[in-house]
Amino acid sequence: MALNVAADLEKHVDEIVTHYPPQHKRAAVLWLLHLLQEQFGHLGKEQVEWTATKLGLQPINVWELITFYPMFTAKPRGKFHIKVCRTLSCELCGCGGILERLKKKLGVGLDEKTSDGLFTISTVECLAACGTGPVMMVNDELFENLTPDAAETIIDRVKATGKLEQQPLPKPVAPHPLEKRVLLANLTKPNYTGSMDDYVREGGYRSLPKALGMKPDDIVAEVKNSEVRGRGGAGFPCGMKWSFLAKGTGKPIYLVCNADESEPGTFKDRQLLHYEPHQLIEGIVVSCYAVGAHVAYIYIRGEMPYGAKILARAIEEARAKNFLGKNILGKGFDCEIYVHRGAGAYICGEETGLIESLEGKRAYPRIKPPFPAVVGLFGCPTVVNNVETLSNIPHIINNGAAWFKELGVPGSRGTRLVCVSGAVKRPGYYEFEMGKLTMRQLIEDLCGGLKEGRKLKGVIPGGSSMPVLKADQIDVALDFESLRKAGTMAGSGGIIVLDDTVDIVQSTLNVAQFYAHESCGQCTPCREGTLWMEKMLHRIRQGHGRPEDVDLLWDVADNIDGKTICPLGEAAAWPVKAFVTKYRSEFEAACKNGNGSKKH
Amino acid sequence: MQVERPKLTIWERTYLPQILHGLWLTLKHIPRRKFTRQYPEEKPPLYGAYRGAPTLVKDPEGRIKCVSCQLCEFVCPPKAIRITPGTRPDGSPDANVEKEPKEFVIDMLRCIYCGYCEEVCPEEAIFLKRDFAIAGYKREELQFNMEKLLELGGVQEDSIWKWKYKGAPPPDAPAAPKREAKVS
Amino acid sequence: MTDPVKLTIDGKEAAAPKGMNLIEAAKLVGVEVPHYCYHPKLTIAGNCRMCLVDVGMPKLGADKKPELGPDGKPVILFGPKLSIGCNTTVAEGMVVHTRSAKVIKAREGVMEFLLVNHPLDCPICDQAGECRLQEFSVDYGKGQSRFIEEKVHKPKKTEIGPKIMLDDERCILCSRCVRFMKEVAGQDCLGFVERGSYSTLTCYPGMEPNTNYDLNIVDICPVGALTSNDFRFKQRVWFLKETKSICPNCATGCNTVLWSREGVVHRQTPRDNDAVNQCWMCDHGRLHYQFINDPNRFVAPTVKSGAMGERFNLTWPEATRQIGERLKALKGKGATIAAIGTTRATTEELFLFNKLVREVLGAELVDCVPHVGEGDKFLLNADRSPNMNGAKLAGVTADPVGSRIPVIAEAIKSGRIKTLIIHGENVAKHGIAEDLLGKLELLVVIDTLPNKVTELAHFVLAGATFAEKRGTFINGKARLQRLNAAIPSPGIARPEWQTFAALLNELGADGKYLAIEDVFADMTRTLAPLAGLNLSKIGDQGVELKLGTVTPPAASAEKPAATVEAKA
Repeated sequence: MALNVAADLEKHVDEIVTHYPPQHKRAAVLWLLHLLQEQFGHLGKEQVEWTATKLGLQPINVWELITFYPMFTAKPRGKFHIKVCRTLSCELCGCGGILERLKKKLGVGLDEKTSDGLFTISTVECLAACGTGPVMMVNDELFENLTPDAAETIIDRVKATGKLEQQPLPKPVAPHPLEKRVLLANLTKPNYTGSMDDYVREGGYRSLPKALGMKPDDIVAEVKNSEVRGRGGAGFPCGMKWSFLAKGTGKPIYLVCNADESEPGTFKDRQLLHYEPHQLIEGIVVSCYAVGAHVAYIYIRGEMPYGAKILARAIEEARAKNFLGKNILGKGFDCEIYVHRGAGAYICGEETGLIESLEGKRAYPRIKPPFPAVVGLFGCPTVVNNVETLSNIPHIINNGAAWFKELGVPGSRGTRLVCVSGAVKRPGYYEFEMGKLTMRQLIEDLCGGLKEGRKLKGVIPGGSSMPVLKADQIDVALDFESLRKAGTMAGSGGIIVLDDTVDIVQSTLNVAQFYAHESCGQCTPCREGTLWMEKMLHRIRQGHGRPEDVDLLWDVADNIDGKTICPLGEAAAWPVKAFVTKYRSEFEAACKNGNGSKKH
Repeated sequence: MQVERPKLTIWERTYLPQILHGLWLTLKHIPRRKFTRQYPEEKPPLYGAYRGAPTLVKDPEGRIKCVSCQLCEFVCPPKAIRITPGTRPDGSPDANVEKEPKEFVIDMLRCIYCGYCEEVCPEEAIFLKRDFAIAGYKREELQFNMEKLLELGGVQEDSIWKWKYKGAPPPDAPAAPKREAKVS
Repeated sequence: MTDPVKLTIDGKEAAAPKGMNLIEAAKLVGVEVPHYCYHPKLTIAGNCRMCLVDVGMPKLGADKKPELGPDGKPVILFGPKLSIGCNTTVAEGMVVHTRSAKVIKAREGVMEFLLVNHPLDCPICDQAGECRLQEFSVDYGKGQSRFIEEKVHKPKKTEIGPKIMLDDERCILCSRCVRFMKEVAGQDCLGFVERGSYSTLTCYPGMEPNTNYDLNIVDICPVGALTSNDFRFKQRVWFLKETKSICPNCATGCNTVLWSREGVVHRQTPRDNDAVNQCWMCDHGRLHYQFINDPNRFVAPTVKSGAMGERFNLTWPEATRQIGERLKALKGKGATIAAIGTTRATTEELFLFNKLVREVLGAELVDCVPHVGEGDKFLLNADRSPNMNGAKLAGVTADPVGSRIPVIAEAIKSGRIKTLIIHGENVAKHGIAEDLLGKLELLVVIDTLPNKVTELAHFVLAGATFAEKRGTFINGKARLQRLNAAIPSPGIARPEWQTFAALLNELGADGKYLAIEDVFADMTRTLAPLAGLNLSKIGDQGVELKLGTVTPPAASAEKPAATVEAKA
């Protein structure tokens, strides 16, 4: 290994390799690449070959990953990598102006290095901070609520000092009277920092000894009884998912926490990860006990480096108190939790894509059957749950399924975090009982209604993948069944409010660009169809759309819908179909005069 | 059935009236309009869909349009075409086209001028020209090789520029002329 | 054998073995389900989405038995989405629609998507005529694309290794090649870089495919993304005649197809035979066919006569007469005759060779030249003779094979052997030096290409390569496989069995061998393992024989010699 790797880095790498089964060293590759890129600034041939040798892989296996995950780069970037979010919510808030200002100021185009080697500007997809947009990250620091001037000031300061200051976490927002905070209950308590002491003081980790005194099957039954549904986007009943696990295979069972929050418009998991890490860890340990897993991985998206650090620290605090590790609380149960960082792919939020990425490969979702409950991580039975779902588990165990069922409405029990972004007066996160609020109440009461002089045009109810609701359809209760009956879905809870200044065609283009960028490229319809829709919408926006393009757009989306390996196909097709159907007149107007002559 | 022979008069038996009649017929035609075409000074008019000998063309930049896909060889009913495919040299400006014919021989003694080769060609590289006096002293002269075919074909205007531009041709690319039925 | 599973495909009843997927099950009833990424010998990827079909299962009542509808037949519930046929295993009572409106629209959609970024390379692409994109777009596509945007551009004409050319724009990312290199060839060197529509197949620079099985990825690539440099721009496949044959390069005897046009063989590809080579072939065998059309091939039998040792062409009757005359004079002097055969000959030729040299001429020092190389653990056998078992069975070998060759050399040196008949071997490289050959009174060589031995021979009889004759090989696992003639021999060269039959006739031992079937029929009467077989009825997959231990005949005055291990 001709590469001069720092000794402590190599030690760190060796330690990380122990987090994974010895015959699956490949799983450590994403961590390894992150660390190497931190030291060397880029991942060139030598880094690729060093990694391949270290983990017993072929160089092509490593190179595949560097080009797949946008956080990695083969060519050196500037010392400070400015990443401006360009997805829908941030675009609605004006990220374009920030990009233009920074590009002009530094005199470079996108993805180019400044001549002093200090800066590179790129656009990135949703950074899960939509309520405080526009946002950008500079290396590991997140800057929110930007204006072009604010962005310029930040860059000036970095240039002047040559350093990047660590940004403090924003202060949690006080709850609105209509909210019901269970998961976020502690956030606004005085001097609450989310540390172990604070958490235990507020009654944390009570469910752990209680759960360890129950039988695992009873816990599963309790969770099933509580009717808690997955909060990641699909809304699948959690207890039922656990009961699908194949037992008696002789293989270890794994629990994976999906903290790869990338759905545009969603930023609820960010709050749970950064402010209440122990709630999640408690939920994971109890869930591991319930399903019989002894190892759990938290797959956190690469763009939340501080979240990863906070979780790692919390894990150590829990281990110190014997809430984690060997012989937890003396009850003979071993459980280890490892943090695994992603590297910038939305497709890693899909459960089998996540599993593939965890195993150290390109995040290509798997064909089902077999399902992860039978053949999952490393070929073993695996259950994948969202951060919010797992954070509910301690409360269910503490207070019982009956208590949980009293919150919410039939079919959608418990509370739910939603995130609101767009042209409302008070964007941000809110927790309330499912079904007890309508969309109108959320927008007009909790969010204070639209900004001055704006009128409502539409609402995307569950992250950009879900079909949009028109302004006259917002009297729908915010629970799974009601939204499904309204022709859309509750999804990830990322609510984007579109006002009358929004150009629907441009929003559709923004969303189409997101999916074209995030498509993994494995299966034909999504790979070709998403880029086709983006190019078509681009051409329409440039004024070269033909009248037949409106139906063509819908038909292309329909050809993707239902034909793909994973739900990203549906996620790409539904917004286009919904926008074209419900706002057809805007599309027709945009396509009136063009003749399709200019190609893009 | 008995055929009656006409009875000739003495004057008719000398055959002089018949001779004079014939001379008169010929003289009658002298002032009349003649339909004789004075070939080779006057060439016959070739109607619009006339099919002559097949030839290979180059595009306005001098690139041989044929890429030796061998579809014409396959479709030719009398199997008059023989092609040996070859590779375009690496450094040349049209190296992205990759393929070109190494040898291209049309046996004109077999060619039936059906025009299938022109119809099937996906590269618009072979065209039947408007000629008709295809002759030679030896059989070998009528095996038209690639050099001869290109010479006969000349340059063809192009508006699509299939290989040159990635995507649509720029607005300033030359446009194709309209192909009209020509008369001679 | 477990009970087959009963299901209905397009209204036809099918009985499929348990565990079979729908693509194979549909084949059983003659229904084609188009697919790209599925390959029966590789793991399932399921990424092309071309094999989408409508699958319905019987609705189960509360008693877990199928509910019956008003017509007495089980109620079938179809899923909301289509399923891919390659990953769906047959189940009892399953109903599959492959031509419903939903499926047709899905196929047209997938076909349109595949062509969206595909370059307009058909006129220059080698795959034209055997391209599944072309075939399925005609059969299942819409016929017109609605895509008017700019296509994605990727690297074209890239060499990955000296044998294979990669064109990334044509690649449909089915990942068959990636899976093959990893699972079958054992070199994990291909992968996809970039993401989404920009995904590109590549290999790490410096780690190109370099196994003996690389060209198989050219076979399995459904489009023209991976093409063989050996075949690049040679011919269009629709001009080529396909002839089933057997590879003559090692004892595995992979089943092949020879592609020829007007007497020239242009390429070899493997064909399916689960008992021998599944559907693969090694590159060593695949690329070794150029010698068939070598311009130096013998075109006629020749005799070396004249004062300066010039060679003259003869006709076959004349050649047979002259050689026959010389051999008849050696009647009773079998001890002065030796013969060296080749394990690369067909069984029929070896049979007649044996009859000629042993039975008729009475020679005892008869042997074959063994060819040994390095075997890999897959298809390439260390024994590089395609018909060693045939040679042993015919009785023209010593035990161990090749051990009698030094004896022959010694005997020539001592003057005991004055006549040597060689078939198909350059013995100068295998233990009988040229000066020894010069001592012979009569050297008859039957071969196809010139070498040092043919230059010294008195008579050279022009033979045929494996591509020009009918016959059989018996491979290392005792499988009798049939060769077919793809092209005629150059000039008046002819298959050796005809030469041997003519010589036998000349020497009075006429076996009435008018056609190869007669030779085979005679073999079945004489050689026990072949009893009851018929050449025309062997079929394309061959027949397994029970050879037992075949003991080659010993010569009377044999000195134990060291085994000759000739490197191939």
